[in-house]
Amino acid sequence: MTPLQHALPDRPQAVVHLIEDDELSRRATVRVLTTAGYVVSPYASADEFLAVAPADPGCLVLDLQLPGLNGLGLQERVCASANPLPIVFLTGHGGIPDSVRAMKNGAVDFLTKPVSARALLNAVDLALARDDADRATRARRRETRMRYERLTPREREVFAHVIAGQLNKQIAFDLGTIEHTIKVHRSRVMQKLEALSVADLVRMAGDLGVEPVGEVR
Amino acid sequence: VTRVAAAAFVVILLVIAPVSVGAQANDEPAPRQPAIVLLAIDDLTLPYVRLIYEAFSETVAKAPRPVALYFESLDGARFGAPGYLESVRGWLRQKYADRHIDVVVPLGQDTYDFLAAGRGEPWPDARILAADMSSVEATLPQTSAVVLESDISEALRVIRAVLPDTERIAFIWGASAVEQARYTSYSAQARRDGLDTVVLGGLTLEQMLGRVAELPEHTVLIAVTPTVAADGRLVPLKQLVAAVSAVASVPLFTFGAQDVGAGAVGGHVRDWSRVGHLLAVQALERLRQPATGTVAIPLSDYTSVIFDDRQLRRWGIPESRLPAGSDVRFREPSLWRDRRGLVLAAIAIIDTQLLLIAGLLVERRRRHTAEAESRHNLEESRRHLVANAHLDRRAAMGELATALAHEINQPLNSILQNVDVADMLLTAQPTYAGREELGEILGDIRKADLRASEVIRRMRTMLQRHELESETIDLNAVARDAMAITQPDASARRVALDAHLDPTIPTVQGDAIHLQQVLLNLLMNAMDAVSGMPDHRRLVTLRTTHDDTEVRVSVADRGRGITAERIADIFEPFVTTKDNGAGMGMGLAIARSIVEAHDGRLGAENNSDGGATVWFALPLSSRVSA
Repeated sequence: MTPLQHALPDRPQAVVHLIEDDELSRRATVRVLTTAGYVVSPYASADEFLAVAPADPGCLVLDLQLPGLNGLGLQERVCASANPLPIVFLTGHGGIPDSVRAMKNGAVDFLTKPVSARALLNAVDLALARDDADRATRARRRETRMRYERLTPREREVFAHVIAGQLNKQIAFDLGTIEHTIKVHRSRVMQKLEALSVADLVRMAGDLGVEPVGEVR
Repeated sequence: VTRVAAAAFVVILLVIAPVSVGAQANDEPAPRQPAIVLLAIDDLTLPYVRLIYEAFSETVAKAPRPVALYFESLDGARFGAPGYLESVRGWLRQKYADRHIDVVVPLGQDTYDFLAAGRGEPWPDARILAADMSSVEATLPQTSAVVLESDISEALRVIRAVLPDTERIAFIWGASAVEQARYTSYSAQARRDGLDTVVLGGLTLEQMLGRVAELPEHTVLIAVTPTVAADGRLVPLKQLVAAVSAVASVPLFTFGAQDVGAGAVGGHVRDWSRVGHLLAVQALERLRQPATGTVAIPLSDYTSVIFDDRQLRRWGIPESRLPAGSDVRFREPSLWRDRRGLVLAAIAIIDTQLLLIAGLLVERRRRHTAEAESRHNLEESRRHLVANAHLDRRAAMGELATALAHEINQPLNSILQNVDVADMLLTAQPTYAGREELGEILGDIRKADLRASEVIRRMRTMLQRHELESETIDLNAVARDAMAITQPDASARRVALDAHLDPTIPTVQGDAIHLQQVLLNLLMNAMDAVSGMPDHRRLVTLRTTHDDTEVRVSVADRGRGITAERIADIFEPFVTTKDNGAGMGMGLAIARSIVEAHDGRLGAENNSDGGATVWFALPLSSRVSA
């Protein structure tokens, strides 16, 4: 086998949460991950993990067959949580229905034991990369949301019409005011949301879940 | 030390030797060897004489000091001319002129009478040990006697025991005066016992054979002695017995053990070797000291009861008539007789097996009838189940394979990852000398690990479980089917099955066959749990209930419950609560995988009134996950 050479991750604070009830497997997997330079936090059950409820970046390496709440159950809980860490599933017997369900719910990978170090580390890398991306997206969305909160109700109305692609006079007509007023609102919106273009506004609307209002005639 | 002792010994010898030689030279001549004469009236060629002589000489040879033994026969049965015996006496006197005889042992009163007639001549100084049956009439002062207890009466009694119809005895002895004199007491005894007697004497052998072939019923032949036939020929008893027996119309008896086997039936017979030995013992005693008394030899010391099996069968004499302790000889191999115990055992085993087979057939028939009835009762659901039986089995195998794969892949996973870590650590040690070999070792472990997991994977593929089907099912129907299937087993195990089915439960989506398998497993476990309990606790209750979110099926038993340490992992593979390894702990694990495939839950808890409840619940929206 080619020697495993694994780069240390960029963010040392990322933690791999390993949830595995089989003690020997758990210890082996901890060794693989720590040897590769990851910070590992092992748990013997889903409940142990939920009690900790970590907020830091990282990912989950999760055994599908767990006592008590099983892997799929924990996946639902994690996805719904404030820190929806990406999940790599491990299973003693890869049941196709289980794997389909896990992947549909956003699992990064679904590995059947015995899992080689290489396969595991690849999956963990992928999961951490996804966590990075997810985290960035979430941060951007939070930021946009914060900016959006600053808009006045009238500015929000204008925002919804702008992202629909309406011109100022169309918006003025729809809102029963004059074009100049709309022009002022639009510039305020661009300013407050720190947008450089209408395209920026449209992307932000996607992040914010704001629906466009009004027709382009 | 050894050498010194040897030297001392030589010196002592040298000192003593001249003294010894001197003593020997001064002594009287060495004491003469004591001598015994065994004197018989019959010739040594006759079996009874020869047997006595051989045993006698054997016993004498074992005497502590050497004893000379001589044998003399008067041959008085064949040679009876006047003056004959006196000439024999003269001849013997001459023969023994330079021999001193210490003891003479005459066999029979007639032989003793020969000595008495000559005042002990030809051995007048010898002590006499006379031997005969019943009594010895001693007329010489130096006489002592050995008297054999008379066996005639006993011999006749045995004959009448084995042949109860006997009315007549035909004795065979010769025409000589000696024989006549000797054996008339035999026929006298028979007459005293209420039997007619005939004596076949004075005949040629051919005449004799003619007579014995035509003897009337209820007659028994007794050949007493070697016979001097009318033509002067001496017919030895053994030869006579064989010839007579071959043609006789009635059974033939003798008094000699040596004749059993030659054609005699047997009976109460004399062992002449034994007599010879006893006489020798007494004769040696007479050498030591003179005596005049009579030594009585009881019957049991010189007779025995022997039969020839072939003759018994020839004359249709059942063994049950033989006296206790009879020695039956010349048996032809007979499985029944020789291996009676074995044969009886074999018969017993065969009988038992026949009974068992018969019992099983009856039981089978009974069961078939019962099954036919229950089949009739179960109607369609049952037929449906029978048709799907193989699917059930395959499903169970698939579940088993899944559980096995899980259990085996865990350690394989641990091994593989440890190997990989070791490899990683090894890679980080580029200067380590054993790196290459250790790398190979790790590579081999990895290959073996992956091969094992491949075996497991193939096994699973082979036993691919019957895919779950999703249809709308009524769990009450599933419960009723499971009850019906379990009922015969429950009855046989005296377990009461009780059902409380909620008629309002909604339908669910699922695989009826698999869910029924789960329920059967729970019912079987419950019956196992109460099997050791008293009757009032041999109860299993099946319930269906529902709420807004799920339908629940529970099986409650009144057994001993589940221990605290087991209740947590009871649905894990290879965990069993059953004693003595009755289960392999797969049932509930399989049940769990089926229920979980239905998005359902399983649970187990102990009841407040003893026993446990094991349940599964399916969500109302239950769909088989796929």
